[in-house]
Amino acid sequence: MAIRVNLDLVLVKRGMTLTELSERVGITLSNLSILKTNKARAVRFTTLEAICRELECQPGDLLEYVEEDGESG
Amino acid sequence: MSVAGRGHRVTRVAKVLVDVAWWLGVGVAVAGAALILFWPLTTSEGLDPSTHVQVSISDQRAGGLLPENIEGSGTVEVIDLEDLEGSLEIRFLKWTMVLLGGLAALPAVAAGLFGLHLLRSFLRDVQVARVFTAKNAQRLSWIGWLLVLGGVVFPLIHFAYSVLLVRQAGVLGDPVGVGIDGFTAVVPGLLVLVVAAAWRHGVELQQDHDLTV
Repeated sequence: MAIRVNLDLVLVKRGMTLTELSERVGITLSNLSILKTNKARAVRFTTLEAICRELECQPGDLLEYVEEDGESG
Repeated sequence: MSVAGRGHRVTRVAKVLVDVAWWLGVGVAVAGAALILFWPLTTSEGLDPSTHVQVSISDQRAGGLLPENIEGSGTVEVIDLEDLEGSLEIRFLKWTMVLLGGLAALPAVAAGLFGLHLLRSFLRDVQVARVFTAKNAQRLSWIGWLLVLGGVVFPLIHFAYSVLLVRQAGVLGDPVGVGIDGFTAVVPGLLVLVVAAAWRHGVELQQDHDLTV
């Protein structure tokens, strides 16, 4: 998929684990794992809002458009 | 009761009915096979037992039938018939013909049991809320193709065996038309294939839903 999710990078910057984030935003660990590993097909705005609130970041920090040949947009 | 609750109850009832049909089918198939294989041992007529078999025939053109050389009968009877329609009772049928009949019925029995097995698996998944899965879509496809292909092939096999049966009985004279059972399973089979196609779309929607965070 051309949209890459950089959740793992933001978690490292904030010094938070996926489990902690899961407990804070009320989303299951498996769903966050689907998001983190770029397997998700869609993200709800409510989910994006909750993650950005806890990680104190912008949606653009989490989501990145990548060209098919691998260059970032 | 909610729509979901009613649907769950209907699924449960359907599963029970299909389970009963499955076990009945297995029992009848096993009993039928045993009966055919061990038929000579169950009669007092030794290795060449006789049996009565009815074959439905319809011949609007019949001018007459002359049954001759019916094995073991020792009699010849001339029958002059017009617009013959009904059942021809064949007597003194060799056990080998009964065995052949069993073999002719085998594909239909196997297909029927396989179809019931697919339906059982399908309903079991639906009962535990695994509805729109790729496996269920495939099961529906197989059931549809079984109905379509079986609806064409099995009546032809039955027809061929019925013709053989009538000839073996030594019925001579004008040709006796043997009716072919209607290809009644084809249309339901096509409908099931349409449902299978819609189910595959449902699988896509389910996957989208499951992978939405």
